[in-house]
This record gives sequence, structure tokens and C-alpha cells, in this order.
Amino acid sequence: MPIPPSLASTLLHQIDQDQALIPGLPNDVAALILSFLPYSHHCRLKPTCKPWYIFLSSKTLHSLRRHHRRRSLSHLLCVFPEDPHISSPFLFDPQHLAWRPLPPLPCNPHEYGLCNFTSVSLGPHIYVLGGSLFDTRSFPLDRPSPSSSAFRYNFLTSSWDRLAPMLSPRGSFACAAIPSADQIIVAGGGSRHTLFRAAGSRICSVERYDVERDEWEALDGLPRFRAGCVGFALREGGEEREFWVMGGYGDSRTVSGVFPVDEYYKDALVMELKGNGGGKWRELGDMWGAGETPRFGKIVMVEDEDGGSPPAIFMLDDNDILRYDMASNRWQKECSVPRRAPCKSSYGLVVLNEELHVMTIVNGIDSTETRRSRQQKRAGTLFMQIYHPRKKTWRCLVTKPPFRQPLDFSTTVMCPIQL
Amino acid sequence: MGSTSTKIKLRTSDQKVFEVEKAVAVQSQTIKYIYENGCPDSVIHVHSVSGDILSKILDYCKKHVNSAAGKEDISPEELYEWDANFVKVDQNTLFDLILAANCLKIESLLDLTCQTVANMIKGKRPEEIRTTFNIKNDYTIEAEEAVRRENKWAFDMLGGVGTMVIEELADDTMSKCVTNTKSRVCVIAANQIVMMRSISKLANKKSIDVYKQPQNPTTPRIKESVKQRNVGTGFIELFFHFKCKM
Repeated sequence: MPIPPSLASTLLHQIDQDQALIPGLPNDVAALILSFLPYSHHCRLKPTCKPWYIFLSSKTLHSLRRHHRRRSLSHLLCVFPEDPHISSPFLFDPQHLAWRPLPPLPCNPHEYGLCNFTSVSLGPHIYVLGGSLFDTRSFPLDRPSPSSSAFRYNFLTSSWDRLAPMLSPRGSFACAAIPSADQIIVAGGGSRHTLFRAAGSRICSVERYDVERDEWEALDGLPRFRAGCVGFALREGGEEREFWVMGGYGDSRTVSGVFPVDEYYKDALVMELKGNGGGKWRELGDMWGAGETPRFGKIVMVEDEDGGSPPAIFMLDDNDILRYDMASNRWQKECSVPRRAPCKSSYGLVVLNEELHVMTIVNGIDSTETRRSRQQKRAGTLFMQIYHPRKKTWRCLVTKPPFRQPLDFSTTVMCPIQL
Repeated sequence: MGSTSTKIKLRTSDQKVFEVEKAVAVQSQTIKYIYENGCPDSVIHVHSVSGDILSKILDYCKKHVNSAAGKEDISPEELYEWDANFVKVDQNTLFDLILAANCLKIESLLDLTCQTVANMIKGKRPEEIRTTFNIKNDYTIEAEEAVRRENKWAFDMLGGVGTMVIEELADDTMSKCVTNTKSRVCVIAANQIVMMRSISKLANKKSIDVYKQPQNPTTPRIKESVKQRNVGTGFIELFFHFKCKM
């Protein structure tokens, strides 16, 4: 939350160093108490008194929550309804059903229609990488091109920073954050845009971003080019050991000589992460046998924060949740989503706080309100069904997102973050 | 008894002496340090803690040591309940507990008490926080207004009212929520049945019997009766009474 300059200077002049945050308690204990407050309540409580304003906007609070009391971190979701250059991303707190808009990305007059970018969180920052967009400087004008831009949102300064661009431009790529080494790895990708359901290039290059040096470094490329894939970093003993890439599409063939159809990959690839570089890619082979019907849905990974059990990988395909078995390289059905979505809409799938969140938009327009809301397109109600993989139970949440445009989960990018 | 555990003597600020088992007393890192570095037979002075507070703290430590060692048959949920009741004290006692836990360095008690105060803060508006904790408002009216406008968080619930999710359902469960007439209520029962009702449909009906055909015929059918009461300004209070029927 940026402190307006006039208020900040008056605050700094007027604050008495001995002023207690909570009268009756020493300031370090009061700071500990305030660090237990969920992130979404911080702004609401700043008008209590000036010492609270200073403390709740400070870096000490963030580092206290991050390093000393990890259990009290709020698990939030950053939702990008549309191109983040023109429409604000939103931060959502599912525990307190609170929404907050973030400032949009710095606008570039030449580029528009950004989609299929990837958003990943590393520490208290959100990164927006790559994507597919239209560039007014390109020729021909109506062909989308992949982007190599990288942006980072800093929650302490509430601003977007532009980072070093990727070596190869890409959209729809596999991406994973490596917190233990403060790095981000990206693999594959292409130039496909959501406006065109086919076509687009694919690449096979793999890069790694080092946050401290603000540099991209090329790693060993994928065996074959691949886009639309998903990637995650598997942790073992506190450190990320392997980077997995699953699924995606490579070649395309034409049906009846006219319609392009993607050839989807059924296999997974693993790269071992070493201290100063990646290893070679190891192919795990197809995840479905010759006679089995392959399933292509959204894939996510649920990590065990305490490190007790290995991470679990789940796929959501058409009302079914499948769990990946690493030993046999096969998927098994775990359960079904309790309440099915209307057939035409798609699900959004994200992992928050070690639980799988399956989201749909339920049309919230009441029959009595259609007369009034002709001009306004309502975003509808967001219905989330949440699955706990260990307890194997479902629960649900309902909330009304504050943005006007309806969410389309086949194109909306979401990113979980802990603050 | 035949217990051969060592005992440690603690003297408080008001000259009360407590004799406790070593395993209980060393939950406090301060006492543990003094015991391991000083003469084990002498009495340890805990100057900043009064007798009442120390007695409560020792209850806490004993409960947690016994449950961890398996001496007491208590499930994690029951221990959680016990902790929740432990901190249901007046604010002065709570602050004394915090200061004592901070001084004696008992991390789990410090976390528990601080989380309790944080929960108190979380549910209040700034004016209420100032009254409760005796904090002076040092903003001018314009500055306070400016800071309030900076808050961009929109809560789907307004001060505790809103969409309610009832997670666990047992026979004869009663539950209450206050919500506005436009929100929904989601109910999950037996991990298999999901009910979602729009409040506007529930309003204007004295009580509703809702049955949902479960997918598995052996699970109980849930009867939910809802009574509603208008509490003004578009909010209604709903009383849910669930009965499970086989």
C-alpha cells in the first residue's frame, strides 16, 4: 500500500518512538500479535492509530510473517480476468472471502490482447511471464506473436517492475518456481492465442531465471517442441530436486486436409535440478497405455508443506479428479467433483493451502434483475468446491467476484501466493 | 505413586512456591536454561509472574506434556477445545498470560494467546479496537478518512455476516448465521451431499424441510429446518436445525 508522500512525512515527524502499539504490552509482543492478523485485514486496521499504520505497512511485518510464523501466512489467489495491461488483476482471500484489485501492468501502446501468459509466485512477488499478444508493429497485423516480457509485482511497493526479458519469446509454457534457489524455470511454449484455437508455433527451449542476478540462462532443451504443457518442481528434503513437464501438444495434423488438429503428448519429462545447472531430460514414457483413453485436463501439484509425504499430482478432467502415481507413471481416478458445472463452462483448478480448488461460475442473475441489468454483464457467482487430498473430503465456498467481466476459466490465469 | 521424576521449585513474585515435575517446568525455555545452568536443588525465582498466572501456566504445560507423552487419553481436537477454553479469560488475565509466556519463553502458549488477541482484533472495527485496547486515536479526521479510502479490500462478508458454509454435520446439529437476503448458503453433509440454497428462496418461509436424495442410498437423509428472523437493514438471521434420518 503506497503511503502518500504528505501523509508519510507527517507520520514520520509525529511518531513517538516509544509509542506502544498495544498499551500494556511491549512492542515486540504487540508486533507478534499483529503478525497473526490475516493479510486482507491489514489495510482495514490501518486507521486505528498511526503506529499501527506504520507497522502494518512495514517490511518488518512481512518478514516476521514469512520467516518466524509461517503458519500464519495468508494463502491468497491472484486472478487475471483478462489482459492484465488493461484490466486489473484481483487478489482473493478465500478464507475471509475478500477481494482486492491490483494495479494493472504498465501499458505498452504497441501491444495488446495478451493472453496465455504464465503467472507464478516466488516469495512475496508475483511474476507475469511471456504470453501471446498482437503487436501493432508486426506485419501482418493479425498474426499473434509470442512475448518474452517478464514482469514482477512487488507487494511492498505496490508496483510492477519490468524484468529482463526471456531469451526466447513464448506463451502457453510450463513454468515452475524454485524457492530454495530463488529461481524460475520455463520450458517449451508457443505463440498460440486464445482467439485462434489452432495454429501457433511451438518451441523446445528451456530457460532458467535467477532472481538476484535478473538474468535468464538457457538450459538443456526439450527433446521435441511442445506447447500448452504444465510444469512443476518436485521438492525432496526441503530442496527442489526435479522439474517435471507433462502433457502439451506438439505436431499438428490436418483432418480432411482442412482442419488442423493438435497431436497431444501423453508423456512426461523430468529434468534433474542440480546446484549450478539442470541435467539432461529423462523421458518417462506415455502415461496412458495403448488401449487406454488418454485424458487431457488441467494438472496441478499439491505439495506437503511439512515435507512429510511426497507431493501429489492431480488432474481435473471433465468432473473427475485423477491422481498420478509416480511409481507406475499412470493416472488413477481419485474421486468426482460433487456438483457438476453446467456443460458448456469449464472448470478452473488451482491449489491453495494444500487443497484443490475447483471453480465454476454460477450464473447469478436473478430473474427479477434482468430488467435492470441489461447493460451490465454480471460476473456471476464464483462457486468453489475444495478437495482436501489427505482427508479426502469436499467443502465449498461461494463468493461474488467484484469485476464486471465474466470469468472464462479456459483462458483465465490464476496464481496462488502466500503473503 | 513411586514416581521418580525430578521436581523443580518455582517461586513467584508474590512469594508463592510451586513444586512441579521437571518435564512440565522445562516447557519454559527460560526455566530450562536456568535449571541446566544453575544449581538444580535451589528454588528458581520467576519474578515477573504472579502466583495465579503461574498456576494457570503450569496447568497448560501439564496438559500439553501429558497429552504429548500419551499419559492422558486426549485427541488433538479435544486438546484444541481445551486450549480454546483456556484462553477464555478477561483481557487483563490474557495480557498477563502473554507477558508471562513471553518472559518464560513458552512458544506454544505465546502463539496461542497472541492468536487469541489477534482474533479479537480481526473481528473489530478500528473504533472498537481503540476502545478495547485503550489506544489513542492520533489521526486528524481528514487523515483518518484518507487512510480509510486507501483500503481497497472488499469483503464479501460485512462484519461477520454473509455466506455461510457448514462443514460438519451430525445428528441434531443446530447452527446459526446472519446473512443478507442476496447470499447463498452451502451445506455439506456426510461428504457426499451438497446443498445450495439461495437465501431469497428461504426468506418468507417460516421453516423449510429440505431433502436431498443422496447418491449412496445407505447414507442418512438430512432434514434441515430453517427459521428466519429479520434483524433489519436487509439482513436476516437463520437458525438451522439438522436432523439425520436413516
